[in-house]
Amino acid sequence: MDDLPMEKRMEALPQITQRKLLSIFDNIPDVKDLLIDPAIMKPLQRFTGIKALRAHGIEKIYRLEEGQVPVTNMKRVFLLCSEYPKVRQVLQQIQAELQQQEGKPLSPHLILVPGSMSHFAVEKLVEEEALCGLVTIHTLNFELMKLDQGLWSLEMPSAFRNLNVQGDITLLKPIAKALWSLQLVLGRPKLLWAQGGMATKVVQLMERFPWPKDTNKSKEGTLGSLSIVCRDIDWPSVFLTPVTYTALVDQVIGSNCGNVKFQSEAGASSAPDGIYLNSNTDQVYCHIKNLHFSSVFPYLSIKTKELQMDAAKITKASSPSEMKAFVKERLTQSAELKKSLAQHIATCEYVVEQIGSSYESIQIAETMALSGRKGVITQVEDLFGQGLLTLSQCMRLLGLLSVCGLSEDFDAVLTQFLLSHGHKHLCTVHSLGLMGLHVEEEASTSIVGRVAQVVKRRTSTIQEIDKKFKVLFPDGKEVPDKALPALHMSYVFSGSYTPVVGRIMEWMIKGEPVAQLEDALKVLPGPTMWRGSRGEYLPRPQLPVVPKTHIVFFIGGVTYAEVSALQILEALTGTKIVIATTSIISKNTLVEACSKY
Amino acid sequence: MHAQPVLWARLNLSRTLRRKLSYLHRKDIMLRNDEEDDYWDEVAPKANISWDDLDQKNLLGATAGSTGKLYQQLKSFDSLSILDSNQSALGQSSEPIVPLTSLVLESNIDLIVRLERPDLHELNKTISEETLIEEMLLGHPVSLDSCKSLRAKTNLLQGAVNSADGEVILKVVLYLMSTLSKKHANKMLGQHPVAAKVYANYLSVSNQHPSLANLLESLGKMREDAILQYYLANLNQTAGAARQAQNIFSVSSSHFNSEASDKHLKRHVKLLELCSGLGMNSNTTGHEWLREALSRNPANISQAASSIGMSEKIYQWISLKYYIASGNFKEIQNTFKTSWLSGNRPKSIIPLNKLVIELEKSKAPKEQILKYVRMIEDPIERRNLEAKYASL
Repeated sequence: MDDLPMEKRMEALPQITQRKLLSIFDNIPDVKDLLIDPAIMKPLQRFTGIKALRAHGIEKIYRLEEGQVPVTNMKRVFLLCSEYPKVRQVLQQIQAELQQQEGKPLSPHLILVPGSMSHFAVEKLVEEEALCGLVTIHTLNFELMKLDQGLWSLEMPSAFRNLNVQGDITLLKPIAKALWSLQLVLGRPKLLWAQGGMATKVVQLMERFPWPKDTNKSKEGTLGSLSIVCRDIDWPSVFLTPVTYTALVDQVIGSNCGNVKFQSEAGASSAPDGIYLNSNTDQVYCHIKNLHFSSVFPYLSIKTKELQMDAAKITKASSPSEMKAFVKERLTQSAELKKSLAQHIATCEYVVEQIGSSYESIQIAETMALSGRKGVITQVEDLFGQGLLTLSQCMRLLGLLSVCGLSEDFDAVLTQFLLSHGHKHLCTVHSLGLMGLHVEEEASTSIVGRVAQVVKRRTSTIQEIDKKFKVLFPDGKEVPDKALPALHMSYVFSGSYTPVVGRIMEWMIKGEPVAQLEDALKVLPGPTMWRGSRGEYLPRPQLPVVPKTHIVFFIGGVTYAEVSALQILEALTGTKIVIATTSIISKNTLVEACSKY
Repeated sequence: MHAQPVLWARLNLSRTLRRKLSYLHRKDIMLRNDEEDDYWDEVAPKANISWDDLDQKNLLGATAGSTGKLYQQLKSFDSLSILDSNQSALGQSSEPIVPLTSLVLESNIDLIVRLERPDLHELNKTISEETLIEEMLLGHPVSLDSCKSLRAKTNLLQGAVNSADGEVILKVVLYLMSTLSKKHANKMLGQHPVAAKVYANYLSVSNQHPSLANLLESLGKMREDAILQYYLANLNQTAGAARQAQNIFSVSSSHFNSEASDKHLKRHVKLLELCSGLGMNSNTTGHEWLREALSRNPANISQAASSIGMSEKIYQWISLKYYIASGNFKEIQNTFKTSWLSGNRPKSIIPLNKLVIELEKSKAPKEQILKYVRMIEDPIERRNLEAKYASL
């Protein structure tokens, strides 16, 4: 078992999640109805199937929606994310069902997946709704589930808001449990690095869990390093517009558990188009996922022509044996290839439709911001006037201006943003301040306060980070050749920016001087923590890290741009890097997290 | 208490003598009750008299006045002796007291005494705050009722924060909020920002906005409280634009004290007033207002647009798009500015090549497109575009 590759061994984790879910079902005797929250359906498909559910007493499966669901069995199991509106809706439904089924032994169970509400808060709500003793509450913490080759996720979308905006640490415990499970499967890493306040708390929580003796020794050839990083160490990677295929598709359309769906105008009457971001099953996607977007369409054209030539060959086939060989060996593959090409072509067209008019101006504006040049508003004023800037694009631009310290431009863009999208978004922008980004000056009532007033900033500006990590324009101002495979991580942002975590991993893999790394880490927010293979305190790491297998866990979310950058690093250095996260930061993540209150 | 056996030893009074003294004392009290109240203040205690010195004969012939003195002297002895003498005065038996333990079992005495002293009772022994936190971390049900003192509560909250477990922190905070006054509870939360954030998020997620507002105010987070009030004011969509303007103005003046915020809020109020004038609802954006205003053709639109912070370029863009969409091509040129520096040629802030693209998208007549192509200053670009659109 120790010979199996790391990711193969990690496939134990979704099975553990399934085991946990099925054991809850087993503890509820008799047949039961299962009502599933639509938000959980996609993650559920990653670790279990209907066959397994039926084998453990689930007779009927319903989608949990507004309105009445027929009561087929007395045992009712509601599987939902712990979000207030959903929990409240379910409790009201249960009350209605209990009234209707008065006298009958109706037994409702709630299985809660971690969300914005803590387990205790749900218990309190159950008590307030006078359902205490009538409803049984269970908790199901997901283990890491595989979205794609080298990419794993806990599918915990509320973590972005809870941790980054609200500063609520409740979700750190399920995260710590997941990382603890990971280490029970793989063994402890040779080196553990935690960067940021939340990351060090996760390590602290992990140390409280029971560790069997054999996990104290790192299994040879398994895990070189486990890096746990907070989202706030690199905001530009969230705000910049990427150029690689998957990253751009996700930023423009959005993904849900590795699945992208959209409704093109041409196909308005038909079912939505979409793609699965899966390198294992989709060979076309495997080739284009980290390619520059402008190089994707030419590649798809070439593959389409090859397919056409193949089809032409078989129509000219003379012998039945040739026909038979084609049907047996190539037909299925050709059909799959054709479907895949069609989906990716439709996706490219949709992306161009959505951002084609604004893409260039936004890229120029972002380059100006990164260079610290004022006047960004002149680049985007036309876009505002033409109504071409979406809400999420505006929020990202404001975030970038904030990180780059361009407060005048920030104010100018904010004014036009409020006029185009509504003044209610003053609250949305306020959330950027809660994330440690733009903080508006408060008028102090005391003279001393007014004299001593400064703009507080909890994160270093991008210039300070660049001095230590050389993340801005690392190849000079030259834009990498789009047609060639990436030679540098800044490829993902057209040569203008290298994700900070990518840079740090590069130093750890190549064995750069520890003093340089330690000095650089001081500009990042939060404390730095190093641990050894037995979980013992280390004053400093020993580099390079051996074995060359690394897991990087992002608390609060990761973007596909960072995933691409780390996969480029993996290819360039010949190491194995697995990226894990609470969830993917997608098109609407920032807006949804910031617009709630 | 120690003085009593000594006293009795010293006094060594016979039973008969004590009885007589108590009789005289009773008479004395009765006499005094008949006299004025201030008698007690007037009677000065005489020099200490030792019982040993007293002649028994003298005592038998004692007068009322001398018994009064005697009473005072008795008062100067140990208080228990006074109690004893009072007991005698009340006519109670002065038989020797039977020891308690011969009347009641020691274990029963102990039980009666300990019931009055919960701190001695083993079952009510306080579990340490550290243990409570450990139990909660393990998910065991515990009662926090034993943490009554402020010190215990402070230790409990500190322990919860140190554990980094949000569930535990929330449980402890809710316990504190229900057992401490708001003043003390909020003070403790102010000292533990991590706990404050967990609680604030709980209130936010469960839509307990009034409690959240109170919490933010008590923690001194005035800006966040202000934003919350603004958010709640905006949520109310049933109010018309005029009413909404009043609400926002009220929130602005009572909660916001920053110039930067003030500027945006003032503009919001101004926009709502403009929307109210056109009968538009309260969630109209600035761009939507302008399009509607252009359709009504009121005067001074550009000034009004400027008053809500709209830049001139954006004003031009929205106007141009509106005129193009409505086929009102004559008005397009009216949006250009004319300056003698440019030889009285109309000059557009908007790049003309972008205007041409917009005309093309809206399928404007060829003449209109070419009219603006010919205004492009760059000769090469002008020539290319002329060739392109002329062939349409």
